[in-house]
Amino acid sequence: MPDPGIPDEEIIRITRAYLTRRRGQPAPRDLEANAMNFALDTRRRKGASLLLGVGALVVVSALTAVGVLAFHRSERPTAGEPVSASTSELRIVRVPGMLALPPIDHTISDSKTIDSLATDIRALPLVPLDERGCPASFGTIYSLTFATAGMARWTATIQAFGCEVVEIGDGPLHWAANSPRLWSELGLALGLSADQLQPPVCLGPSTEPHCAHINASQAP
Amino acid sequence: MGFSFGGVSTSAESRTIQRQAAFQQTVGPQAERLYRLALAIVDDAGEAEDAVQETMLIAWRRWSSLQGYENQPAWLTRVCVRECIRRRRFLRARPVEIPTGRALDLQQPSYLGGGLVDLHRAYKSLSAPQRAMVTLHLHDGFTVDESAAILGCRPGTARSHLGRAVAKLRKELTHA
Repeated sequence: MPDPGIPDEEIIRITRAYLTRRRGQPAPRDLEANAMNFALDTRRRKGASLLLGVGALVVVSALTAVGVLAFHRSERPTAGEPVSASTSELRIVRVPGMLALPPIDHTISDSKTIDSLATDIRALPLVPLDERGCPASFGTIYSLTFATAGMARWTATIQAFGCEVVEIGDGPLHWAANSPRLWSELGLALGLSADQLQPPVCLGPSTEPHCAHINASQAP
Repeated sequence: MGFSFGGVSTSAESRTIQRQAAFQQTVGPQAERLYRLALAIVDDAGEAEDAVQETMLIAWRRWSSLQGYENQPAWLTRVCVRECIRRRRFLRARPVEIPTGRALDLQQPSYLGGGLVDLHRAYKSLSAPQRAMVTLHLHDGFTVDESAAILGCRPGTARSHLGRAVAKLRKELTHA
């Protein structure tokens, strides 16, 4: 039986005081950053889906292989045809943006180079949330489209200038500004020197050899 | 207008960056408010942080439509409260250790004769919807109808949660 001695107002007052104090406890320091990263990071979910997809593919392939093998052995006991090797391709496109740079559209099939670039890109750190004031990016980007047999095609776009932001699919933004290894490997893959890959930008007349000028037709 | 070459558009890239930046600027500052609300309902710092993260994830997935909403904080509150209740229902199957002793040093009502009142223990005895009603209505000042809309239930149900919560608190405080 409820105690009539404690009025509702008093219960409400002390409960409010309790909640005010409970909610006044400090929030975790990186709460906002962690929540943002969690929301924008789709790799985890994509990774799980990919794992399930690959697992299902392996099971289906194994069952199919066993079935086909059994069928061929029963019908024609001869040696099977060689299985075509899986191929990997990487298409690298340079979009000059506002700069007068020669466009690049280059396709690579060397799996070692492709794997190395893919690994470097996936290892890039996320763009720090407190990053402010990027220099001009001039709209110049490198677009790398990876096509590997049995895997979904994916694209990474890398800003050549500015904050050197890297966009991988629909996932969160990464950055390459502190990743010289990626730039050197991209240069090697394209056969370009560092000055050709990320040339200094000349805003006025200059005699510098590797200097990129703003394209007059694109200038605002 | 952006540039286009080989199927790659810099305007698309720019749009994605702007979209993420707008999301971070609009929704990010709500994280702490939502955390405090979640903490009052789930009563566990880790669970509260997880609830906030799930809320942010849902917000990002629906960002296209959420951008057009007039009252985005209210939408986020609704999602967060429902996520907290969902989490508490899931956790209910697990045994929860209720701490003994006075958890927070609050002034005791004089009519209790100086006896220990463990508000923390009393509050923990409430169900998640009851806690949500207590925190939304009694602490944050939402009306019963507004609180019911946030919880996704009828006003009558919300009143019932509130009445039972107050009755349970009274019982716990009386027997402390």
